[in-house]
Amino acid sequence: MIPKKTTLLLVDDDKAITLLLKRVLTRTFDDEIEVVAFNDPQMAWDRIEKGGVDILVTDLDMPIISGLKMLECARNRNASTQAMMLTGHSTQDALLEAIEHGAIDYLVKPIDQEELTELVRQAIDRSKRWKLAILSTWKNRSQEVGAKG
Amino acid sequence: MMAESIKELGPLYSSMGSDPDFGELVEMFVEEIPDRIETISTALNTKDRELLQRTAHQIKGAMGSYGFDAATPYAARLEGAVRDGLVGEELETVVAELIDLCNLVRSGSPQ
Repeated sequence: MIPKKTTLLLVDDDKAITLLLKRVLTRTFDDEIEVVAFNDPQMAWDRIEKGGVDILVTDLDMPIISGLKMLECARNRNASTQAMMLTGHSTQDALLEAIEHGAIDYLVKPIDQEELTELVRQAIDRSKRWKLAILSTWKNRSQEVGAKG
Repeated sequence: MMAESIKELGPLYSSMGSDPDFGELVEMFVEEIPDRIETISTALNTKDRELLQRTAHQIKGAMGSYGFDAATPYAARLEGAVRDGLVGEELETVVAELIDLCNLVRSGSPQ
């Protein structure tokens, strides 16, 4: 049993980018994911703090709260969050740091729509597997506790 | 690839302009191009290099993502020029090229 739709948080300080990527993702994965988009990194941060983000797609190079900080926040809140970074060529050095902080992949702008949907497809599948594994572990644990009681 | 003269390029249409799912978004994007041009001009006039570089960076990513591939090298050139410390007339020329290019961008598809 899969608990609910996969939640994908999309963060980029350029509204044109979030509008476009949200449309691409909704068209491709409409019944599978809920896409929540933010242009204000602080609002995205607050959303992460509330929990329930399965996939994070964030711009790396943003003012005040960088994509790296966003990644750290998401992974601290939920270690199974599948995170991928959006970047221009000029910020590729930071990608190494992103990988060290648990990012699963990256996309170089301008965004190739096929590449984006392929990576998100993989992230959805991976996220579902994690959810199933975690659910199964909880179920086993509660059965053990019930048997002892 | 950069054209010898920007005007040689003629009107620029998005490869997604006639896609029913994206045509409206392309139109919105094109309507907001004057705002981006104004930001570049203001940043140049006020010598706000950080804003100039950031705006060029955004245009580079957005133009190509919206199917205006011809614009990407001009935005990348401005981003690089600011980063490399270009000033004065040389910088103004690179800015003017990007603005000229932005002014060629059109929504829809060629008639």
